Amino acid sequence: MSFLDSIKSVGKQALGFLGGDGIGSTLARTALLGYALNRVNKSMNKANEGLQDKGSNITIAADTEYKVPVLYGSAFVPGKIIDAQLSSDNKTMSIAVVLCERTGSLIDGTQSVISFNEIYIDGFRLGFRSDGYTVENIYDTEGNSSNVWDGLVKVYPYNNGSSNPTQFTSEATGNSTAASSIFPGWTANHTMDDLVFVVIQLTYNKKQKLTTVGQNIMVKLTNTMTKPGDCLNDYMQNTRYGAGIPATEVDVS
Amino acid sequence: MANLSTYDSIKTNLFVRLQVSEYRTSSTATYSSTVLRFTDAETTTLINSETYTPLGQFLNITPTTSEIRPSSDTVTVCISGIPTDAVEEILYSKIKGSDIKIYRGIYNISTGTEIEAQTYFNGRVYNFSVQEQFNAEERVSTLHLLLECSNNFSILEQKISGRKTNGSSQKSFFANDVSMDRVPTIKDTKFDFGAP
Repeated sequence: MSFLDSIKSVGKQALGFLGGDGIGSTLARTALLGYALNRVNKSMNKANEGLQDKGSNITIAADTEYKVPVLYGSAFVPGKIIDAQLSSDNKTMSIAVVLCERTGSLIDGTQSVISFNEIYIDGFRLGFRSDGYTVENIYDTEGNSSNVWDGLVKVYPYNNGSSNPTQFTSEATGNSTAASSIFPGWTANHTMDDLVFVVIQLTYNKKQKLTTVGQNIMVKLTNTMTKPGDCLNDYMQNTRYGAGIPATEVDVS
Repeated sequence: MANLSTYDSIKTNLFVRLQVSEYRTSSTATYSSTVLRFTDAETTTLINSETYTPLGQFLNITPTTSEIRPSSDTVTVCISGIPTDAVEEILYSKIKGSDIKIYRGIYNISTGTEIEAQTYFNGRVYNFSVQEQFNAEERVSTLHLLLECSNNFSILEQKISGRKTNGSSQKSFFANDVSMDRVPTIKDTKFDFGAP
């Protein structure tokens, strides 16, 4: 008998043992089945670990020494995040972004008004649905559009504190809700007095590459105060951001 | 500005208008807003419908620099011959920070009439000092009051305004607004955006 025949004989004995009706054979079959299932489970878990989305670990570029700018005329104004809240399911991030000071009155006594023209996140201009605040499309610098963020981003502008919602000039309608009703955790004491700011809500979506709050938020704003005399007069007299010179010492006639 | 070439002779005097918003004559008196007006002229003079007390040579004002572009400048106003019993008015009043305006009055010597009053200096008192001059033989002393004044340009140069994105800065303008209280907190917070 060759050594090949010996191997065949051992195999037959083993299969005969596993195929038998004895307790030993049953236990052996159970053990083998368990081992096999265990290996399959381990293999599936490893595959799942590779596919499971763990989200993004992000930090906010807040700055306690950032000086709120003053805007006259029209300009692209960078925003600075002053508050952030993540929803309990970690899917929705709300951020409050300060843009600039609300300016005073023109020499003729008319209150200046700052309007929102456009908003950019990391270089992409946002376009809105018919409600005026839910993002539908984004546009790159060459004007190409994409709807990858459709419904995932909402933008709520305010041009004079939390209780004065406004809309983008490009939209027929827009935000009409006070910031305290939009931003999680905010109350009537979150007044944001005399500030122009925007609240942005972003819904996490890895597939659509919405995994951060954006490194660079830029808003194009336009102030009705544009004439040099009005601007100089406002800057000289304002006690919050200007020189604080009394009105009696400025001859505007 | 008046054309002075038409006059044979003119004279000039300086007129100081010091507005002390918290003035009192003793430590127990109540504060009131008072305007002190005095001049180095020899007689009582009316400038801009206001009467100026003549101090003559008891008033000395350092010269100012005259430049086309605005520049920071300081002057020192020295009042001498102050009786010792009047020192309380100086010490108990809040002179620092008071508005001070100095005019240069130009007069026609022949007629004694005012030709023009020009603004010589416009600023605030940023410091003051009192110096005593004691006459040992007569056993009397008089006081000198030195008012150090900086013009409005240098005050504006030192001025810092605007608000910063932090809670204390926001509350300094709007005491009840808590919108920026969380800036220091979120600055160091990591958010698990999208975590399961």
